[in-house]
This record gives sequence, C-alpha cells and structure tokens, in this order.
Amino acid sequence: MNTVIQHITKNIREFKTLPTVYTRLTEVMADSRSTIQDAADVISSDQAAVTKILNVANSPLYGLSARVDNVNKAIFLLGFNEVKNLIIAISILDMFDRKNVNTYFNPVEFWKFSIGVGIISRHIGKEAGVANVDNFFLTGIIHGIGKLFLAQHAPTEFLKTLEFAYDNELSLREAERKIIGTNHTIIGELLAEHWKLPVPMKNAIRNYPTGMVNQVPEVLAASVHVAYCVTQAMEFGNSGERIIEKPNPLVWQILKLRTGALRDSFEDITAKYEQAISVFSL
Amino acid sequence: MGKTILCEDITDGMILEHPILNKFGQTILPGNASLQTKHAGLLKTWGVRTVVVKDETQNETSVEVNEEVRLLVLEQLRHIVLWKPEHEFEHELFQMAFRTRARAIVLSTKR
Repeated sequence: MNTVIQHITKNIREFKTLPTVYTRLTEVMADSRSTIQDAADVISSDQAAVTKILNVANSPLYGLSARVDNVNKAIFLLGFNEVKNLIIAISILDMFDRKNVNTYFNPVEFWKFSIGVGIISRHIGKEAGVANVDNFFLTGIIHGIGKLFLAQHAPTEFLKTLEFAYDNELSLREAERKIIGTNHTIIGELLAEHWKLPVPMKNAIRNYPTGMVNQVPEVLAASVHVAYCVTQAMEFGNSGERIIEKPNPLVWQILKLRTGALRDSFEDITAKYEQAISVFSL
Repeated sequence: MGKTILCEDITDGMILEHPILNKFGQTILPGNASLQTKHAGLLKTWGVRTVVVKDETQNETSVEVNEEVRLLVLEQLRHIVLWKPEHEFEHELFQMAFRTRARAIVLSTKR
C-alpha cells in the first residue's frame, strides 16, 4: 500500500462521526414503542438542525402545501427516515472545510453540484416509480464525498490528479487511479462504512459512475448515475470534471423512464435547485 | 402572465401563478407552489375546477436562440460532450445541456 493511501485510510478511521442527535434518533426509530414526540424531542436538542430541517421542509423540494412550522409536523409530513437523512446531510455539509480551493476545484461549487445531484436523483427515483424515495436525496448529496475528502486530506495529490485529468481528457476516477492509486468512489464507500450508512447508499456511492451494483443495474445507483450526468449538463455548481459523461445505456432498463422525464423537468429542477442552495446557505 | 388549466391537467412541477384561497379567504395553496398531480383531487374537493399556472413559454428562462448562438453552443458542447446522442434519453440530456448553455449566453448578452 502506498503512503498516500495509508495516510487516507488512517484519516478515514479517525474522521468525524455523525452527531449524537443522529445516533439517538436511530435508537428512537429502532424502538417500536417510540412516538413522533420522542423523535421530535431528540431533534429539538439541536436547534441549528431544527432550523435547517424546517427550511428544507418548506422549500419547493418537497412540494408540501401545508406550512411546516415545527419538528413534529416535519416528521409527520416527511417521515422519520427523511428527517433523519436531512440531519445526516446537514451534519456532513458542516464536516468539511470549504476553503480548500484550487484552480480546478472549489468545495462550495462542489456542494452546489452535489445538491443538484440529490434533487435530480430524487426526481428520477419518483419518475422510475420507486415508492419510497427517502434515501435518494441524501445519496445524491453525498455521492462524491470522496472528492471532498481528498481535497481536504491529500490536497497536493488531488490537485495533481485534477491537472492530469484536464490535460489528458480523462475522468477524475481514471486520473486518481494513476496518480493516487485509488479513487474517490472507494474513499466514499469507506466513509459511508465509517458513518454506518445503509448498504444501498454505500453501494450507490461506490457505483454511481456506472449505476451498476455487482454488474447489475440497481435503481438507487442508477438514479444517482443519471442525476450526475444531468447535473453536469445543467451546470449546477462544479463537479471538478470537465466533460459531460455519457450515461451507461444499461440503466435505462431498470429506470423505465417515460419520454420527456428528464427534458420536461428542466424548469422544476432549476427552481428546486435554486431554493435548495439558498436553504443550505451555499 | 399565467395560463389557466383544468385541475385534471395539472402535471408534476407546474408552478402556481397565484395563491388559491377558499371562500373564507384562507390559503389552500400559496403562490409559486410546485404542483403535483395529487393536488388535482385535493383541489376538486375544495370545489376548485381550474388553476392558473406559470406559462413556461413566457418564462425568463425560456430564451430565443438565433443561429449564431446555436452554432456557438454546439461548438462549446463539442468539447465537453465527447459522445454522440443515440438513445432517447441521451438526446434529452444533450438538449438540457444545450438549453443551459444557450440560456446563459443569451441572458449574458441581454445584460
């Protein structure tokens, strides 16, 4: 194992865990006797999280007609799992330094891109007929978390990688493999394990470049994969990649989208994106 | 300027032009709410038969693209889309990339 990989692996093991409010909420959700009030009490202990959850719940992202003015109502309308996912998203956004800017990569622009992937992943999941799209928004937001980790923990090697990818018209993954010896999807998967995120989420982070898990298209990974390509096309933020990737043709079989499912959502997605980046203070 | 449509014709993502009020003046749905097909049934129970939604063709984000802009966008895309659209969704993706670039160029020349 080269020294850069050793350094990265050590830093992942020692990296911040998800906040106490998340672990306590997970415990409450696992207890069948818990009520909405129990979960609301746990969340209310973190007022910063409460404010952001209410802002997101009232944004057009969820299209709720009723005003969400307290945590109980947010849980009732969005569900336990989605509220928990919002706490994860907010926590992870706060874990990373936004100052590691270089010529090719800006963390704030990358978060904007990631929010775009989250919004579009959720849209695609719904278009694909997935009954419960709770995990789609969060998975989209953290799909490329490995890039941010590299920017923060191996900035010199990451800059070399970006330069190499630009100069040679390569994807970042290919350049990372050549320069660092690993790539951001593997690092993302390790972070997902570190945070004990659900397996489908971890698989999607590892496999979003193809949308395939164990050589088979999988709906969450496929949705994030297509969302990634659409977000590049719509130029939301900046992913650190120069080219718009061609979606893997195999994912269309599992997504079974209607004609116009992407094109017709242009304005809706744009409006949701603009609201979301404001809610997340980006 | 919005357009009036029947509740049955609501599709996901349509944006409400004005708030919808009940007979007591209470807001059922606020202006700029993002509509979903499920709203159709809800509105009907309130006796609402038509709604005014934002007309996409009147939107600022919908821009007229002349030949010069079209060629410029295609030239720019040639360097970042290194594949030829074949599948219908690849065409949709390409159209979205085209629309994004064209809108940015047209709006920047207007300013």
